[in-house]
Parts: sequence; C-alpha cells; structure tokens
Amino acid sequence: MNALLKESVPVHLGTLSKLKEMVRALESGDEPLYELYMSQLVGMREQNLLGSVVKITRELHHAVKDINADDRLSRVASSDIPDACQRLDYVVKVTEEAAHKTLDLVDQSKEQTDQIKKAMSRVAAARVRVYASNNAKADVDNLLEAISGMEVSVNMGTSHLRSNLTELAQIQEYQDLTGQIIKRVIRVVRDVESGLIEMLRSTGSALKAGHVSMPHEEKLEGPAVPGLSVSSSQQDADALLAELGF
Amino acid sequence: MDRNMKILIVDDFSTMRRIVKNLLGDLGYSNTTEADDGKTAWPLLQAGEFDFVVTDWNMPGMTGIDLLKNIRADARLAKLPVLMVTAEAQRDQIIEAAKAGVNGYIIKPFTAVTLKEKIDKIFQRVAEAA
Repeated sequence: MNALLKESVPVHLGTLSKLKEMVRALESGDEPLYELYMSQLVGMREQNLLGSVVKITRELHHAVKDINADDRLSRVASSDIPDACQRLDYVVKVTEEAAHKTLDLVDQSKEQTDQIKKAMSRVAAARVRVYASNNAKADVDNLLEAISGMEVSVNMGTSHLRSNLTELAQIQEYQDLTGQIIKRVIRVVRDVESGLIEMLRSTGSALKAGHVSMPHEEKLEGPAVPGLSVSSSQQDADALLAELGF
Repeated sequence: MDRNMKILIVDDFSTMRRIVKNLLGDLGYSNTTEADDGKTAWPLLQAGEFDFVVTDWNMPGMTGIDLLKNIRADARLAKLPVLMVTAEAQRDQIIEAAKAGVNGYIIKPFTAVTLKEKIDKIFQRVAEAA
C-alpha cells in the first residue's frame, strides 16, 4: 500500500502541473498549445498504465518460472516423501524386532542364572545337613549328588549365556541399517526445507538462498527395504559372482 | 589359514565394526584394527602390513569401492584380499565390485555362518593361487 502511494504522488504532481499549464493555454486562447498539452497528458497516462502492465507481467512470469524451476519440490512431494515414510516404517519394524529379540534373550539368560542359583542353594542346604549330622554317609552322598547337579547346571548355563551374549551382539547390527535409512530420510527433509526456503525467497521473503546448502544426489541405494527396492539376496549375489567367475 | 593374520575392519558404523570384530574373534581371528572409512583406512594400509580387509561400501570420505580400487591400483597392496560387507544389494553394484576386484561380497544383514563361509572361500582361493 505504501509503495503504491509513493509511486502515485509524483505522477499526480506531474498531472496537476500539466493541467495548470492547459488552463493557462485556454485562458490565453492558445488552442494548439492546449491540444499539445492534452495529447501529452493522455500519453503520460498511457505510459504509466503500460509501465504497470509490463511490471505485473514480468513479476507473474518470474513467479511462474520459479515455481516450475523448483521441480525438486514436486519430486520430493510426489515420490521422496512417500518413499521416506515407507523407509521409516521399516525402521520402526526392524528396531521393534531387534528390541523383542534382545528382551527374549535377556529373559532366557535370567532363567539360566536362576537355574544356577537353585543348584547352588541345593549344595548349600546339603552341606548344612552334612555339618549337622556330623558327616552322616547319607548326607555326604546327598551333598556329592547336589555338587554333580550344580556342575551340570553351571556348564549348561554358562554355555547358554555365552551363546545368548553372542546373539545379543549380533542383533545390534540393526543400528547400522536403520541408521543408514534415517540418514537418507534426513536428506529428504533437508531437500524439502531448502525447496521451501527457495520458494519463500522467490516470493519476496527476507530469507536468503545463500543460507541453504543443496544436498547432492545419492547414487547408492542403501539398505534394501522390502517392497521398495529391487535387490539381491546373499544367494543372488553368490550366484551372480559365480557367473562372473568368482 | 593363519589365525594371527592382521585384519582391517572398515565401516562408518561403530556397532557394525564391533559385530564384525566379535564374529571374527569367535572364528579365531583376534588381530584386528578398525577404521571408520576409506580415508582413515588408506594410511593404515600403507603403514601396517595387513593380510585381509573387511570393508563396508557406503561411507563418507572414501567409499569402500574407492578403497578397493585404490588397493588394486597400488603395487604393494594389489593382491590384498578384500571382503565387501555392505547393505548395497543392487545387481549393478555387485558387478561393479566384482569388476573392481573384490574377493567376496556379503549383503547386510548377514550371519556368522555367511562370514565364515566367505572368509574360508577367499583363503582357500588364495592358497590355491599361491
């Protein structure tokens, strides 16, 4: 609104002085001069109108061009965002599975330690009876039996625990795969962000495009996501490498 | 196969480096060193006498495929066995790795059995070639 006022004031001042000159020409009976001023006045008006039309046309052209030029945004909206959502769903699924597997192994390990503890308690109780009966043969035999039982429990329990620990370490590989997927999604989010900033800038916002760094294109596919990427299994890879003479 | 051989594990994810290191340890290989990408791995390879490299593909700095190409182009390292352990499962990428001279290719997620199989196969071939 202010800009409009600023532009229109000198125009009106020009018109006013032209009208005053026309009145003076009429009063002095100078008709050719009056006609000249009249045609100049009409010309001024046409020129202003033409200028405005040119300005509006140019702005419209730039706006349309900017919107079309930013096809990165339309690509992001039509394919990258749905793709990112599917990838994030997969991350949720993988992390959930890993957490369940971890909890299952922890539960199993607790059972193993409970078994070892029970075997230890049996030995302790048998030993107390041996002391109380002053080494009665039946109690000594019972203690020896409890010790054998504990040996079995400890051997089985520790080997189970060892294998559970190895499996727990193996499960942590989900962090690599989900980490890579999340990094890809972050790149999509950055794309959206830079596209939006670019649009705001082109429509007159104070934001500067220089503040936005454009992410470069990702060439690699990253971890295979079921239903999203056509990828090889380990068997496919082995077969392909065998074909290539490996 | 020498259980004391010096192995370089290259992966930008520390969890995956730990998993590979643990699995190699279970297989009896405990002489391992870690690097978080090709760029960090390269001076280590130049300086230390490594017998085997297990590398990821997609890493910042220098990717596994570029590391492999550099290894094959270096007269002293050219014959070093390289096992690629990667999430990249595209046919084109497997072919690219094969052309670059990879000795084995494992797709993540993988199992301890697969790792053992590939390592055994690589060193069986190395022994045959010697």
